[in-house]
Amino acid sequence: MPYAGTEIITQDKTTTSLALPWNVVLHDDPVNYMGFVTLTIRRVFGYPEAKAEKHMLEVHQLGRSIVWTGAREQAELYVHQLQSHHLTATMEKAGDDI
Amino acid sequence: MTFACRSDFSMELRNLRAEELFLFRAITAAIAEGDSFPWLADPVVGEATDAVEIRDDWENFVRPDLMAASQREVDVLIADLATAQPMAEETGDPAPVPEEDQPGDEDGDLFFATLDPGFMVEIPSAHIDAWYGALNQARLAIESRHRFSSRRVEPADLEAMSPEEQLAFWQWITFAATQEALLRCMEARFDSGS
Repeated sequence: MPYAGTEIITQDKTTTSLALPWNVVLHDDPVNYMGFVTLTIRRVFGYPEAKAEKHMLEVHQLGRSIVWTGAREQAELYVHQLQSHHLTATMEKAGDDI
Repeated sequence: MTFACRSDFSMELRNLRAEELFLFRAITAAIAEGDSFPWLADPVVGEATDAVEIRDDWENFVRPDLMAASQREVDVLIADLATAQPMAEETGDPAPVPEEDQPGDEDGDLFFATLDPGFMVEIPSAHIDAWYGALNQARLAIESRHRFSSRRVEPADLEAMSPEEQLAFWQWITFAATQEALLRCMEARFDSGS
């Protein structure tokens, strides 16, 4: 029970999460074969060959490709999987991408 | 050295010469001498609170896990190499000797060299990915040290190389050729749905 003279203030705080999705970015490297990059994208993301090849060519020609966008936990898993195949992969908040 | 992808997506490395076997067996040194984990760079871009959290988790859990998995790949390759069999013993069928190298040819060394069919290593289907990964690690490490991907190496350049650099160069070439064959087998397996 509150002491006399004290006042209890109850404050409701509403936070709305506007979390941005995350991009999974695949980077070029001088060692991995283009065929291996395509195969790994197909395996990890389940993309059809044409889509995987498009990303591979983007990596090869532009140095990087956003291969997936979505929730943070899934992005972390995808980065982990790509790295386990020795591909250089990072994640960044969508909107932060250069 | 020749490669064969079998119908069950296992592979055979055939006619492996002793020096090629040596290059594979020296994979551990190749990895140790370079930056063996260049693909394990910081995975998160940005300094937001969640980026820091992700980075901490990655350093504490994911990176050690990836490094252990990479070591397992090398262990698989080394174990398979230990099963290398001389091909003559394996098949009882020495490689045919070209006519010009038959006894009586003035170049006796060539005759004996040609007679040796070399070794065979079998790579089970379940080990194909590990082999590819181990060779990838080695090539990434060699690249970090010697930058062969951006160099055109002529025979005269080889003579000028140190023994260590020559070893790295022959590993680079041999591992790349092997990876191409492994990749064809991996693609065939993936496309078959196995």
